[in-house]
Amino acid sequence: MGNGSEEDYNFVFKVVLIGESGVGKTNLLSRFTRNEFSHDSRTTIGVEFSTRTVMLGTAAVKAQIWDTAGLERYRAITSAYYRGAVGALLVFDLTKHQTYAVVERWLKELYDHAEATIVVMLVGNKSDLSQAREVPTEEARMFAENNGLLFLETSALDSTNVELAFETVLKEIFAKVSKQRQNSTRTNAITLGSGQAGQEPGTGEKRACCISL
Amino acid sequence: MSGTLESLADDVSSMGSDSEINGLALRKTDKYGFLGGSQYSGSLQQDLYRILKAYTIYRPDEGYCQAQAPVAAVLLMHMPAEQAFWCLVQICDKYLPGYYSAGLEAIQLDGEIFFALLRRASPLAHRHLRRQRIDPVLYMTEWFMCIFARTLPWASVLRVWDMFFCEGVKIIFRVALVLLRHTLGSVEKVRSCQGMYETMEQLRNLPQQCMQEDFLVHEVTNLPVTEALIERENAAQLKKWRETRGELQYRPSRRLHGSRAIHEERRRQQPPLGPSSSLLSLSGLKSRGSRAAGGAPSPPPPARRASAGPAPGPVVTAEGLHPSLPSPTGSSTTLAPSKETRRQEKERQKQEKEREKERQKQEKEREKQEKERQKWEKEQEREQQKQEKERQKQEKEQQKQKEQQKQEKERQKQEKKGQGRKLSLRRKADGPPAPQDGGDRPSAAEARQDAYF
Repeated sequence: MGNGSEEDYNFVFKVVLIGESGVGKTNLLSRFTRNEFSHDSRTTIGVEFSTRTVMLGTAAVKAQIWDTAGLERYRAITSAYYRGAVGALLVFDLTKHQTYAVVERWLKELYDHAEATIVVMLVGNKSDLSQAREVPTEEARMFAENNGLLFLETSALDSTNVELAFETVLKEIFAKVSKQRQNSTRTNAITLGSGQAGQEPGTGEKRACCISL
Repeated sequence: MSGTLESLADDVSSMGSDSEINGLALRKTDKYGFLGGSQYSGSLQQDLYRILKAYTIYRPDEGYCQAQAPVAAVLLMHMPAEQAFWCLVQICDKYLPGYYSAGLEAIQLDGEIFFALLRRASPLAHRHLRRQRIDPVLYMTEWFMCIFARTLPWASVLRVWDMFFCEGVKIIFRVALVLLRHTLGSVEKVRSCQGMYETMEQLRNLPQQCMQEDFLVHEVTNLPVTEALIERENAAQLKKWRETRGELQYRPSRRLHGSRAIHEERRRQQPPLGPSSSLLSLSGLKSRGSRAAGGAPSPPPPARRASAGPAPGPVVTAEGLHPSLPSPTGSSTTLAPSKETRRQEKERQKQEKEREKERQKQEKEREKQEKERQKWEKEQEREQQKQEKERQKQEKEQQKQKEQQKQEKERQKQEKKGQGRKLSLRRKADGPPAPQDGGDRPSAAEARQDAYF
C-alpha cells in the first residue's frame, strides 16, 4: 500500500467518520490524509473532508473521507452526509466510557441512512492514554464481533494503527466490490462511476462518483 | 474546546486554576456568573468558557451548541465578557433565532431559502449544485452558524459583521450568494468541478479574491436581496417544509432584520428610558468609523469600555443607530446606481409601511386582548359579587335560624323561669322583679317578629 498520485485512481470510496463529539475524528482524518495532529484542533461545524489515494494491489483507490460534527443536534443534517458512503469508522474515545456507551445509537443512525452493505469499523481512539482507559479492549472487541464490525484501537496522536484502520476498511470495501464485479453481469447490485477499474490512469474524465455496493 | 455540555464542563480543569474568579463569583456575580461592569477578568479562553456556560444557564432549554463558540470568540475580541454574553444572546434570540437549537431546523430552512435565492443570483451554480445533489447544509452550515467567522479573512469578517449587526440576516445570505457566484458562477468553473467531491472541495477552498474585503463588500452591497425577499422565500420554504416534512419541531421567535428592527421592537415593548438607555457599543468591530456604524443593541447596562480593553479602535457607541443612519450596504452611491438606490429606498419605505401595518395590527390585537381580559375580569368580579351576596344571604339565613333557635330556647327558658318566678312571686309577692325580665321581652318579641319573614 502506498500513496498514489492524486490524479490517478481507479476507484473512489467514500468513507465517513462518525462518533461522539471530541473522540478525535478530525485528528484521525488529518493524521491519515496529511500526517498531521493538532492538540487544540477546533471543533467541527458542519462537514469537513479530505482525500488520499492509496494503492491496493494494482488498483489505485481514492479514499474520500468525510468528517462531521459529533454533537447530537448536528445529526439532523447528516442524512446528506451519509449518502453514497461505502465505509464508516465509528470512533469512540477509550478514555471516556460515555462515548462507547452510545456506539449502538450511532450504529442505528448509520444503518438508517447508509447502505446496508456499508463496511463499518469500530475504532477505539486515544490508545496512547492507556493510563486513563475506561473501555477494556476485550469488551469493545466482543461488541464489534457480535455486531459484525471490524475493530481496532488507534492513536491519532502517536499514529498507532491509523494507517492500518483506514487500510483495512478500504481493503474490505475493495474485496466486496471485486467479488461483486466477478459475480455480477452488471446487475443492479453494483453501479460503478466512470472511475472504473479498467480505466487507463490519467486518461478519461476524473469523476468522483462513488461506488455504491 | 470540544463538543457537548459535558465536555464544556470538562474544559474547566484544562483552563487552570480560576479560584480567583470563582472567589469573586461567590461574592457579587449575577446569576450568569458575571461581575457586572466591564472588567476583563483574565484570559480570553476563560471568558469564552464563561460566556458559553452562561448561555446554558440563560437558556437551559437550548443548551450549548458548538457553533456558538466562534461567534462568542469574535465578540470577546471586542468587548468584555458580560457584554459579549449579552451580544451573543441578542444574536441567538433576535438575529438568528433557532440557529443553535436542537434539530438545527432554522439552519436547514435557511439552507433551502438560500438555495432558492441562488437560483436568481446564479442560475449556473444553482443548476450545478442541484445536479450533483449537494444539499445546502453540506456547505452553508458553517458559514451561516459562525457568521463567516471561520471562512473569511479577518478584515472581511469585521466588515460583514458590521453590516450584519445593522441589517440582519440578509447580509449572511448575500455574502453566501456572492461567494457561490464567484466559485461556481461560470461555465469554466463549473466544468472544473466534475464530481460532487470536487465541487465540495471548491466550496471549502473559496477563491481568495472574492473574499477580499473591498471586493466582497462591494458585491454584497449591490446584491438586491432584501428583507422582503427573504421573508417571502421564508414563507414559501416553510410551506414546502410543512408539506413534505410536517410541522417544525421547534418554533423560534420572529427573526428581526438588524439593529433598527430590534431597537423598534424594544421601543414598542417598553417606552424609552431616556438617554441612559443606550445600545451596546460594538466599538471594536468598527474598523472604519466613517464608513459603517456597527452596533448591537443589548438589554443590559450601557456600554462602558474598559481602558485596558484589548480591542483597539475608536469608541463608537451605537446610540446613534437611527432610521436616518446610512446603512453600510446602502451608503455607497458610487457603487450603487441611482436607479438601484431609488428602488432600494422604495423597497425600504414599503417595508417600513409593512412594518408599521404589522405593528398596528399587533397593537390592535393587543388592545383587543386587553379588552377581552377586562371583560372577563368584570365578569369574574360580578360572578364573585353574586356569590358573595349569595353567601351573605345564606349566612344571614343561618344566623337568623340560630337566632331564632336561641330565642326560642330563651323564650322557653324564660317561660320556665316565668313560671318559676310566678311561683316565687307568688311566694314573695312584694319582691322587686328580676332585672332580666325587661331585656327578655323585646328579644322575644323580635323573635316572633322575625318568624314572619
